[in-house]
Amino acid sequence: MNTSEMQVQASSPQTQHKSALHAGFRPLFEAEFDYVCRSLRRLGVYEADLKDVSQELFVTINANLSDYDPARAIRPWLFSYAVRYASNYRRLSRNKPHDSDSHLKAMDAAPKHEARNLVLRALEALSFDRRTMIVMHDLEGFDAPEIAAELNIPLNTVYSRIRLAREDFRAAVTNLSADPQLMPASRRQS
Amino acid sequence: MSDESLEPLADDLRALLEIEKADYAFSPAFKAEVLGHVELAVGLSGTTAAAAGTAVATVSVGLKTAAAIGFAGLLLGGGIGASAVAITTRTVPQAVIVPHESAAVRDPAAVIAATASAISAQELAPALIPGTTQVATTAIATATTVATVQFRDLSKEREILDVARAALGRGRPNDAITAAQEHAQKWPRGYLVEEREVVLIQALAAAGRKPEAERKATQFRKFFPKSMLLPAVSAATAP
Repeated sequence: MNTSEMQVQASSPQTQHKSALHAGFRPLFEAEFDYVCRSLRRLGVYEADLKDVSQELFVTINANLSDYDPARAIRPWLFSYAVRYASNYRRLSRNKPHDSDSHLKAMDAAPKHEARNLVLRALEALSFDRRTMIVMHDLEGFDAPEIAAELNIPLNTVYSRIRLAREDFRAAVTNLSADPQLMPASRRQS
Repeated sequence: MSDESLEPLADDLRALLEIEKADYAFSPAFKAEVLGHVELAVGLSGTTAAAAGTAVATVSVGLKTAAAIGFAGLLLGGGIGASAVAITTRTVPQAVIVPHESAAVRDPAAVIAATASAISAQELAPALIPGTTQVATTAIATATTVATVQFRDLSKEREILDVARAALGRGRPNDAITAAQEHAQKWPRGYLVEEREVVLIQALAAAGRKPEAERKATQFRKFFPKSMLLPAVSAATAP
């Protein structure tokens, strides 16, 4: 059980009006804000829209926090919301230009930033379903049964999607790496 | 976690993803801004929303003292609007404070006053001209005064819209229309224009004046294409 789970459990609000701030919300927000925003970015929410999308997501989280089962890990629960919000967002916003992460603390060394940029752009090239597989499995470390449970899809479908997603991700990285502007310095040939 | 039926990820891709996997943080200002908006949306979305008035204030104090206040309305669940308040100067901001402990704050004017007071002249002075603490103090005081006056107007705006909402809630759409129109006359470019228009659209629709409601709804979508009130507008004008 991580910190957020304990805090949410400790607050144990019995009845919260949907329009009130849940007693466990602020600790959850403090602990998991970065995680949620990171997930949204990886799932294709542009930085320019991150504030709006994360805000709406957290409002929903607050409203549903009483339904959260503290026996479960908090992050898969949060991630399922991120998937839904990112999916809706992607349906509504297409052909927007990619942007960089100015909201991120400026602590990234340039090569690391470039690598992240490459990852995000490669993920961007994937379909939403396959992008979700890379994010959940290869970035967040969920195993296939967990993904199947969270997304409510058959286990074999998860395996299949992961394989296909990796192929697409590989192709996207290869294509993007051919562009010297996008290729991380650490991967450039001198 | 491993899935044995899957082949291991290629080393180069794994290395690339490892960089992305490392935790990274978003700026505290961004985080505070989102939290403030969430608190606003939550605090003002319920039935007691009109009286709540919770606010997050982003105060930027500059050399010039003419402050402008921006107000954005939000709405959730077809309820009542939420508000975000920002004070900006017309010059380059010299200091930014984003308080988000809104639980104890119910008066926007008090928020601004408290926030502005919290900016010490010493904090501002280095950003202005060395030794000009007097200038900074004056700037803060004036900004606070302007903000307080502006928020008095905001309270009046809200009062009229509360009348409109209450009338709508009691099934008296014509009274709601009258109140909304009064608001429009007094504050054609007020802080609560977005909320007023939604109430008016709802009231027109409830009064059976569908064509007018549709026309207003079209205008609303044009002027506020990203409004969180759009679902309420659509619901009001649905066939």
